[in-house]
Amino acid sequence: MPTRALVVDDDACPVAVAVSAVRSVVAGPALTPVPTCPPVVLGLANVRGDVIPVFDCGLLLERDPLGAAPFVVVVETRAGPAGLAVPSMPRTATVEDGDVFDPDKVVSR
Amino acid sequence: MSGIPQELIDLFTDEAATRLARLSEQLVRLETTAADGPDRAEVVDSVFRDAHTLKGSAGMMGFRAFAQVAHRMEDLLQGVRDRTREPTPQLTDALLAAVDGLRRHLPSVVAGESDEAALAQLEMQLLAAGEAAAEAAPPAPATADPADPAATSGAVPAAGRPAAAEEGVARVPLARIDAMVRLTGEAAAAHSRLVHALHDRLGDTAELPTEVHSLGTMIRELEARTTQARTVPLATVLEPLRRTVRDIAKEQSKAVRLDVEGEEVELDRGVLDRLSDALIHLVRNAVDHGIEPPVDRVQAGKKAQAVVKVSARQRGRGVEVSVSDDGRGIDLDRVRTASNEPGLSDEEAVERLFQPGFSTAGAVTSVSGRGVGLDVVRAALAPVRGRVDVRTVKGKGTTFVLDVPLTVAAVSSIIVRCDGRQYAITLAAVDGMRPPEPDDTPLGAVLGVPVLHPTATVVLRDGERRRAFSVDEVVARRDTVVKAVGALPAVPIVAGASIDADGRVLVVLDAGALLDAAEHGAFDEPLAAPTVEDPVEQAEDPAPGRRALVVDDDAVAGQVLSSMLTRAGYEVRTAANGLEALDVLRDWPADVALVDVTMPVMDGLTLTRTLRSDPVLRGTAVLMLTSLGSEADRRRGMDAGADGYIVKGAYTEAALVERVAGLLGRDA
Repeated sequence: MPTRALVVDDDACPVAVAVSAVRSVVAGPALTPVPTCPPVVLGLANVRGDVIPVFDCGLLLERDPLGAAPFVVVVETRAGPAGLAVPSMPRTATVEDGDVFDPDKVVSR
Repeated sequence: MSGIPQELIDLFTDEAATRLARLSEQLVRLETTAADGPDRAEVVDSVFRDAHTLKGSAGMMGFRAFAQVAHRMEDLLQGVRDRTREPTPQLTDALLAAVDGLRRHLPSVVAGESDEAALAQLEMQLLAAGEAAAEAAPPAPATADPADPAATSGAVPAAGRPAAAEEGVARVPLARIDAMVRLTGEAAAAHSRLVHALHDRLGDTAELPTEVHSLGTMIRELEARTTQARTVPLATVLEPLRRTVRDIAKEQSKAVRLDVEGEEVELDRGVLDRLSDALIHLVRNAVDHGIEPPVDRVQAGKKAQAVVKVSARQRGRGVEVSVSDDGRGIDLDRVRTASNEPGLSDEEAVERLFQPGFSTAGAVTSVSGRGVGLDVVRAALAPVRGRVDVRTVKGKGTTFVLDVPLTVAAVSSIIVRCDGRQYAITLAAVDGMRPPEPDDTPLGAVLGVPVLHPTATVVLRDGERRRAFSVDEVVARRDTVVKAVGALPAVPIVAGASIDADGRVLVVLDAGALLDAAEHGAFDEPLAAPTVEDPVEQAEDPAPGRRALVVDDDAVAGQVLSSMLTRAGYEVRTAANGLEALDVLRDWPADVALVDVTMPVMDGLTLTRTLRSDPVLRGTAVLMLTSLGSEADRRRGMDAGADGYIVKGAYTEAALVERVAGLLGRDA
């Protein structure tokens, strides 16, 4: 089924997130590293007063780590808001349902 | 429920829960109120009104089975109200069982999944109880006051005290208040960032526009008021306590009265939820195990009716809640026997009762029954940084004193720096601070960051465990709003996060997890070796029976002093200003008071002068401890009546302890 999504075309981290799951997109937020945390968590960011963990989208997709967060897609997960660090500004597109990334995957890690 | 707006369902749920809680409380009160007592009519009106309103609102919502049970309750209570039926224990039992049943079924009823058969069963039980009560107690002649139209017509009584108390009150879901608290907290942080940004642009000494200061004042006021909106009186958690006392006492054929003092004291809802669990546990323990059977009490020269007392009072930025009973007290010798540690001091024996697992030992359950699950009480208070202490006298009774903060919205923390990054540690976990020593555990090593050049050591404690962690710098003490980070993978050493004045996220460290990591991880350095000033050595030369009061508005300084004196064997309490100190001293006369000079509300000089003119407290030794170091300051302190004067930062622990001992020796 076609779904409206925010799509990142970058080869380093090709990902599509359903628009309905996206809260906002933030450019280069300051990150605070979390001690003893696995590398998939780049750090914590202050997004409009909420503290959210920002995940490395490269590692989430089992690719090379991005190691930085040029852009962060803030998504709703069942455990609260979380950020997906992506290398470029996403665009809006219609994609097939099966191609959409499930945000809850970040909390099941 | 289809067709009914969720907001209406939420409103009904909230109101029904409130009314059922009040019904439970008032039914217990009805049972103990004399038939001709002055409160009787008020209590009867209250329970009747709640049953009537429940019936009406449930009927309006279409919850017919629920409304039907409330209707039967109303019928029975109507009989009590017009004095054709006595509120016998059997009738009260049935009404309370119906209240419990409605509370149990409320979630499924509002979800549209009510168990009609179970609710019908409740209704039948009420009918049977009504018939039994009618047979057992012939109706008393009606003595309705013809001047009271409500009494003769059966009309619902006009709004009495409870209804009047609700005038002008809007029920608001807690989540909305939490959102307001969060937003005002963020507004305060944003204002702080604005001030920083303006100073960056205009220079540190630039005078900012008046509007910036006014905005700050308004935000602080707004913050205080929204935080206050989260507070609720202690009275809201008393109903389960009354039921607990009533039910267990009845089951065990004991006569127990619950006295309450300070039910108007208000606490943060989050703190109160935790406190409620702890109080229920302690009250249950008191009645179940602490209170002797009536025969034993009479033989021991006590009144047959025992008293369990719950009292609360505000102390500085916290609330002290005590649960005391006049039962048999804790047999500490049996604790020593059960733990195979005959040499335990009384304090150590009491501490054993809070150890997880200790309570499961059969021998301990017979130690006046106490100790059963007391670790649960400490665990319930831990998330809100509450503390519990015990005072017990064999044969006389036991008092548990619970210290909890007024609010969990803002927590006093120290900010430390490691490898250029700042971390917050809640002040309640800090046992003291001192210069670093070689055997301290570098905090950076536990955090997995490079260890640079430690300039300070923070001693953290978790229960009985203590460990010294060296840090690059102790940056500041600050009130932090700790936020959970829900979607973060489980990281034990991270207790939460806070947003700093510059908008960056500050990681809040969990002291207990840091101790775990240091003890069980790759950090196997020995515990900080005892030094001349270490508790292990100094504890061998204690000052038995000495009480010291530390009076300082700087919580860090207060904590450090308390730790030093505790290590030296003193029993220590703290107060945040002179007025609070007088309050403490009147209940708990201390041998020595260590008094800061500059404090809000009442300064140290005024406190000292007040002590010297007080006929009871004038003998208290006063050691002034202040950052004011001039000769004139010293003279002012001594003229006010101080016995000694020490400048902050210009003493060692050993010197301080020696000075205090010297003062008491002179007085002794």
